[in-house]
Amino acid sequence: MVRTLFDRWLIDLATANPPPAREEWVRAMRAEFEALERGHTGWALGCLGAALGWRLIAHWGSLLVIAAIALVPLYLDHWVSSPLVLWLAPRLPDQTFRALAYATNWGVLAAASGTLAAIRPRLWVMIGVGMALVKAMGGLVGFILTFDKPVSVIPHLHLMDAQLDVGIGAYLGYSLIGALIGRSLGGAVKRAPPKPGRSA
Amino acid sequence: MTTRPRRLSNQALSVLAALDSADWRYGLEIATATALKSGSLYPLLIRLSDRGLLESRWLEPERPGRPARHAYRITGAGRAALRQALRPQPELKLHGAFNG
Repeated sequence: MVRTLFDRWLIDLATANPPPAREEWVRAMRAEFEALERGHTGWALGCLGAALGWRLIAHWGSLLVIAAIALVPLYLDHWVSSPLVLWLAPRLPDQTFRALAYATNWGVLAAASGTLAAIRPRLWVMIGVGMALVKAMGGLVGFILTFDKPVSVIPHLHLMDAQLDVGIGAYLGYSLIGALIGRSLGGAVKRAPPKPGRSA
Repeated sequence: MTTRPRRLSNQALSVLAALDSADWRYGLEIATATALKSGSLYPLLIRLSDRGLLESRWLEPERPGRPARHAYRITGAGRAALRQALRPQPELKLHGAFNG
């Protein structure tokens, strides 16, 4: 039996925190994974897809709220950090300006993902992926609308001065890192021991 | 007004057919028999179970030290639904407007 760490991580991700109505079925999927002789990656990927669908259905209300809040970093970036960076542009060396522009862009995204994941730790993966895609799509759609370009130009665009897949990958990375940190901080706050009461 | 049950998909019929030929079967066996991936199989098993067309139970492992596995079996209602779906449909004969 060849079960790699990646396969194990996939099935752990698929079977973690299932909706209550699906707990038995998630255990069933995992039991079959353990019984496999080969094909663990495909089995685990399929289980992950099914489990994500169940979580979407179970948490659609929370996800709608998250989607609405996800618009905040788009406007925060457009109305706050971008004007600030543009004001600093002529006052800084080019490389410093670029680094600052990227840092604010990714920092806002990571902070927003982390905040949401701290509130909903169990949804941290979906938050990380969703926020990154919203941010990336928002930038691309904004470019198309601003410069009146056809949709077919999207695959040829650059994101953060990199090819589209690399740019989206960077957004995903920083968003997931932010979400993971937020989940950890949220969990730590919830587990913090209560403060001792004052004596009379 | 009574609601008619939704027509079974080809994938659902293939799962019921795979269960029809044996007693209890594991998810892996059904996947092999139907060529369904895990991502398609389990939502389908859930739907069929919710409709009462199959039942499930945990079976003790065949080898000691291995975890219990979830097994499935077709129910009487499932067999009836399978027979109904596989019954040859009568040909429709049109009269009147299309006659010469």
